[in-house]
Amino acid sequence: MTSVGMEVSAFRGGSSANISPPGLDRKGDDPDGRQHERALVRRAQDGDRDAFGELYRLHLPAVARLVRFRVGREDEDSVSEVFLRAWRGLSSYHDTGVPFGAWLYGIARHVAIDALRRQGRDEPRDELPDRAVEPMTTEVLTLRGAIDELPTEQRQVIELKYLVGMTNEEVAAAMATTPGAVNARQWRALKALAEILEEERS
Amino acid sequence: MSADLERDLGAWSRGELARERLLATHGAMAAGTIALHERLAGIAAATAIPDPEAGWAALAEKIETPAPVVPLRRHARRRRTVSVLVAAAILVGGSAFAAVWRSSHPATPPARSGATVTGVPAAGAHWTGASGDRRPIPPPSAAGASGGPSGGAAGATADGTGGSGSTTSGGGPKSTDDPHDRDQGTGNDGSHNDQGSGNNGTSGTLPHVSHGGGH
Repeated sequence: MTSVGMEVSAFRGGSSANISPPGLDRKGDDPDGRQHERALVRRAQDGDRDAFGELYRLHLPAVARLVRFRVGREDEDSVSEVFLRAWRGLSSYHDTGVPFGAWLYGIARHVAIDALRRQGRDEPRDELPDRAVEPMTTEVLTLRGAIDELPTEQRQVIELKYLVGMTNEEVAAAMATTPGAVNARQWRALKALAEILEEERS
Repeated sequence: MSADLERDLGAWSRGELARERLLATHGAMAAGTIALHERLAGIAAATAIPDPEAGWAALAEKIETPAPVVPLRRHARRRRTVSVLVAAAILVGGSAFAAVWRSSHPATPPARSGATVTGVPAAGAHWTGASGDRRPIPPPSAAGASGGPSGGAAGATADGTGGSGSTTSGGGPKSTDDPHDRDQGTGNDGSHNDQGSGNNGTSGTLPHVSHGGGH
């Protein structure tokens, strides 16, 4: 898959929204890229570490964004843990049309949950506000709380589109629906998110 | 949110519709959504990405061993095949055993009282009748013993329970007997229609009319 982690379709929207996350190599909707990724996955499943290294480079930005968003801070250990679990569980991934990035997304969510649990156990509660000093953290935490209140399907669309960076077609494949339905869910989710944030503000 | 707004937002996100046009058409409703969209996009864009090469170098040390690819399905298929083969072997073996057993042990009805009576004409007191009826009976009379194939008489000499052939009809075939009845009323072949000429069933139950002429 070429565009997972490389292209957030929403980033292409409008001139002001044309934001390319740093370190991302855009390839557009090149179908050959998808085939290339499939080949990489097959090689990695056969134990080819170099192929897995290439997959790592392809998906690192998306995984790092997701971990950062879910954990609330940069956490390279968690990012490594995602790929380590992916390597160990590669045999359980079957290419049934669901993008490899969506599979990684599932792993990353679990790793983030584990990291948050560890964080809750290891750190005293009174240390938590200190992290809000980090620029963006307050905003991220607020948004994350609001996103978690969304219905599951809307939350998944938001995370897959904005954090993992999937196109509508890829999200549709991951969620077994149509790109049109993904588009509708995305905007409805944003509207619901705006309402949640407005309620919290008031 | 209207379908038009969803469609136009989608067109805008794909760069097919100008932001100004979108705002002019949908006003504040679109503005709020666009603002949130850009906020999320900004958070994603601002995330620092770790150095891929350094990250991979660190990760590669942990994954020295190749990923264990376990062909689970292949194992499952093999197990399923073995199970089917074992089941088939048991089925075939059981059938073969049953066939051999059947050929070496001719089919005999459970209630053999009539046969016992005719087959052992002078063996002294012996058992006959239904399974629950275990009374000793005296040796058969000469007539019964000489009954031979017309065992209805022999049966009649017993106690009339299992072989109750009457003196009037036990020896010969009756018109009401089943034409396929090989022993024609001798009452020894189990489940046949012998119409009161002796043994009338595998269980040795009493016939409808028992004359008990054997005594």
